[in-house]
Amino acid sequence: MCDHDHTSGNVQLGAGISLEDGEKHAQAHVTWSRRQFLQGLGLATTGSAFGFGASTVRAFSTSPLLQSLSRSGTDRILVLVQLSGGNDGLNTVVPYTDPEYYRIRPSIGIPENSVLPLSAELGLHPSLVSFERLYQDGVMQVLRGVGYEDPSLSHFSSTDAWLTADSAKNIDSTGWLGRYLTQEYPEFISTNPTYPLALQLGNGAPLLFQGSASRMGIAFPNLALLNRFAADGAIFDESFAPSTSFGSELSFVKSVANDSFQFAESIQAAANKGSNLVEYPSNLGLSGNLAVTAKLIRGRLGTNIYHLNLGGFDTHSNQLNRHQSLMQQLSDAIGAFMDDLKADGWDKEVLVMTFSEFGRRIYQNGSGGTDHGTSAPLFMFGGGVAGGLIGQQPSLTQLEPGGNLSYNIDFRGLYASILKDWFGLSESEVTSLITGSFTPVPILDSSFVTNTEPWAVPESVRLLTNYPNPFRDRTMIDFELERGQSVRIDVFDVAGKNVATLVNRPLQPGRHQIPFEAGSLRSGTYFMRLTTEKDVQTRSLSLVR
Amino acid sequence: MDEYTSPLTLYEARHLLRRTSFGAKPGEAEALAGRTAAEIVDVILAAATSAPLPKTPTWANDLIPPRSASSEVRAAFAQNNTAWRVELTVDWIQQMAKNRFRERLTLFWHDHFVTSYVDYLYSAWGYRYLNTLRTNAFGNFKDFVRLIGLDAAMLIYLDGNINNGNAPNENYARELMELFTMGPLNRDGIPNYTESDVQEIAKALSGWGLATLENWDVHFSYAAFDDGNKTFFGRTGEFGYDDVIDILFDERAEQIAYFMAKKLVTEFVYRDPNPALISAVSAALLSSNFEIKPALRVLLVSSAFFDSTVISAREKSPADLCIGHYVEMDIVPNDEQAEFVRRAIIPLDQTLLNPPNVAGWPGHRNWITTSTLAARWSTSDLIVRRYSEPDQILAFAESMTPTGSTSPAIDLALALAGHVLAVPLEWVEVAEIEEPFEGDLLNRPLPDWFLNGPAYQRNLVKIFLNGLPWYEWDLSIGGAADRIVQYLIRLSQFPEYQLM
Repeated sequence: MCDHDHTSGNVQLGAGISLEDGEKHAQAHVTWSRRQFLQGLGLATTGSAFGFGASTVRAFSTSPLLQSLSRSGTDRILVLVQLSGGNDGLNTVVPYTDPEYYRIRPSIGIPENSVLPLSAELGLHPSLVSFERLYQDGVMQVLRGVGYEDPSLSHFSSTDAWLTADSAKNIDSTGWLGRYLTQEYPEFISTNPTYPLALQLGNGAPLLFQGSASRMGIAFPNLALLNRFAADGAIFDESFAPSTSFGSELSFVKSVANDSFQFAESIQAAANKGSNLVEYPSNLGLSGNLAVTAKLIRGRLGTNIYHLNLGGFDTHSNQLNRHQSLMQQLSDAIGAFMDDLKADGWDKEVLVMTFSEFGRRIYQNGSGGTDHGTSAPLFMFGGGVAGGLIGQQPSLTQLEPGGNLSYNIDFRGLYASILKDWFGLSESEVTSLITGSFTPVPILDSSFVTNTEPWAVPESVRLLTNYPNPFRDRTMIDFELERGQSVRIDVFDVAGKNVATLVNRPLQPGRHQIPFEAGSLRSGTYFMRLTTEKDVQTRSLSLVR
Repeated sequence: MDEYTSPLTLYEARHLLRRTSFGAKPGEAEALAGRTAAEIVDVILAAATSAPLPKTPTWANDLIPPRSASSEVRAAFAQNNTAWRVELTVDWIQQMAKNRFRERLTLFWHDHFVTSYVDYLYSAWGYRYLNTLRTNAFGNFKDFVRLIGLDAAMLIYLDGNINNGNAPNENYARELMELFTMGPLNRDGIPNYTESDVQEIAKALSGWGLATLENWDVHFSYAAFDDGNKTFFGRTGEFGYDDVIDILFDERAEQIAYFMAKKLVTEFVYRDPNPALISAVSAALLSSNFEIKPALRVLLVSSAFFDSTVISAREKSPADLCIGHYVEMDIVPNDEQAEFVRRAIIPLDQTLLNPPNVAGWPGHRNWITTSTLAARWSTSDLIVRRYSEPDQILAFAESMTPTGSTSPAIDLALALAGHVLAVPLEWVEVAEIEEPFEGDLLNRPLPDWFLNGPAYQRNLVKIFLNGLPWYEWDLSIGGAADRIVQYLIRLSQFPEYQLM
């Protein structure tokens, strides 16, 4: 998995990759950082993107995934539960009949007679009582050995939500960011949604509320803020300021901050309309977060993706006690959540997935804990899942260099399957979000699979990069038509205002070049949208005076 | 207006550094606390005026190709010119993090004696303009006015170079008085000049121009000069450029001193300037014959400057925000980082070398709108996350952790908050986080002072720890830099962070 020949050229390496770096090297074997995960899923976007080497900064951008979702109009929901810090997969899904397990974990191994058996070889941590029940009901799926090749980050990024800036210090030149910036997928939507397409909760996440353009999602660092937002429609208390000069400036800034937050109405409405039909173990932590999520779902907020966080999994020491407490919380919270949704059938519309930015080392360390590792199991829940065990249990004896577990399910394949089968995105949309071909992962019951489109329809319009870009007065829009068809080209500013319609008529097949004169427009980013009968493509243009 | 003679507290020292030097580096305010304002201001003034000037760019004397040159040559020059301007701006940003007080003043003067590269085009003039600002930033204001009017960039920007005796152009004459020296009305609302003054002064200023094919310099052409009599401010004579400046400062000294004092107080203290402080600064300008240094000194050591109600009462400009991040973290931005700042502040409504109009950037509350605020959060996020190195972050955190600390997570989290937030921490709105602290609190209890202290402390530390048991934090643990980065980003997203 990790090719220790670090002279091989195609992966950008960061600090901590050479073996001398010890601990950092172990981290480098992050099978998937949260960011990579989200990138792979198409959720990570650039908060600021310079696109085409432009000199203007666009302060926020959207996720192509979110755009695809908004276009598809799906009601389905994905709830991502991140176990932040690196969950110890080996003590979560325990190979309780493998003597090697007990040999390498003499004091922190889970005793054979206390695991909750799932099969003849694997069992759950004893605290995952609800998981066992859900498994028996056929609504839980265990994916084993989920991982990632070619780790290109040397640190976990615990805060990367799909609406925030790219956290990679080492930009892989052919990587996600590069692809997005040169790719066809738009950063533009023609209408502002009234509800967030994605909602992130917890993990002290960056409070990034998008401004005038691209308002697609919302992130709350903690539940208290979401609750306050739902109750008051505002995050900041403008009256909490002294009546002095700086107090008045403080109130002013807070009022602008409050005005910057969108979706207040839809979130308040959903929170009021929604309810919980079961009692949750707690109104704090993961349990509290899931309770609110269920409420918003039931209240028909419309959000497609929820991303929640349970912290504290970085169990370098005293793992048995701490991990047990976490497993308990996880089990109770998800159990309550699934029961809540099932009570009125919402469980058929929701897919829950737990993941962690990496697993842990198979060997215990000297403090009764474990250090950062690689692949790990992952759980999926929902009325639509196929249930059972997928993938192969990684061997404890045939290890990757560095003493880490191998992987056999590439998480990108998992995401591709989610996008296609659960959200019903087309094949071409999925491949443009996740490049490369991956073995599909059969998560869903066949009756729940939505997308039946077998192959990508060949494109009838090929949009090339406009030139020059950035430009000062004029740029040329360049495209090719496979066949004659009606074409319309509009140009929008970041606020979504149409500033020009360049073309709106049938055109002959072949190459076309249409100039766009900037006239008296201000410097900044603009979006050009080419619409044909079957297709919409967008490019961003950068005007620099 | 009294001088503030008490030894400065840490909080006051930070305030002084923020307002003069884009922020406080780690340990800087700590080292200055206990000294008086006068001591500190004298030191930073001396440093600002003795720091060597940046090197002359290699291209500063590259003339534009003649008309006879091929279009390829001319296109190449145009491209270079843009690259040179970028270089000039990037250098300036780096200078702001190095010679902070001097460049802070240079930025102030850029916002006062405004020019825009969109008008003068050539970077060689941009460099000369910036150099004039820099060399006169702490000098004599009257000399400054004299020099800036003959700066090439200014001559083009305000039409001085086409102001000839046959068809005088009033643009510069008007702005000279309205914006650069005294404003249209004095403190009692009485006009400082008449339209006739503007027209007559324009005639006296005529004759100056540029001849770019030989050199970038400015020259006087008698043929373009109106050599007749002019009458303004009640004086008549065959006045020329220098006479205008002399007469202006003779006849309107008080008005100029008042106007400039008010501008300085508004910029460096509060947007609603204290009248007593304006008077004191104005008096300093008058008694020193318009030396800027004594006026600044009076301002910076005044009790009005250290009035607690104006500390953190200023909205950060985009430059304050971005440079401030780097100064706070003790990082001098490298080329890539400075280039990012150059571009990032543009959608925040501040393009260096290109203010929106001759009145400069409106500033203050105008910096904060629903679109710029979200963009600021995003910019802060990028600066701390992507345009800083993990090593730098760790070194910064190390310098902020007291040696021998027995609870480094707590000490670091609180130290960072106090370091980067200008608003007093008890006024920072930190949402209550109900989730408890993680870990074995029975055997590793949190310190009593912390448990019994104000709630905001516990909530800040919870944000920092994010589920990590407090006793497990150490700068050497895996993901330490990331955790610090995340906390800094979170701090930068408090509305309080926008104030300085």
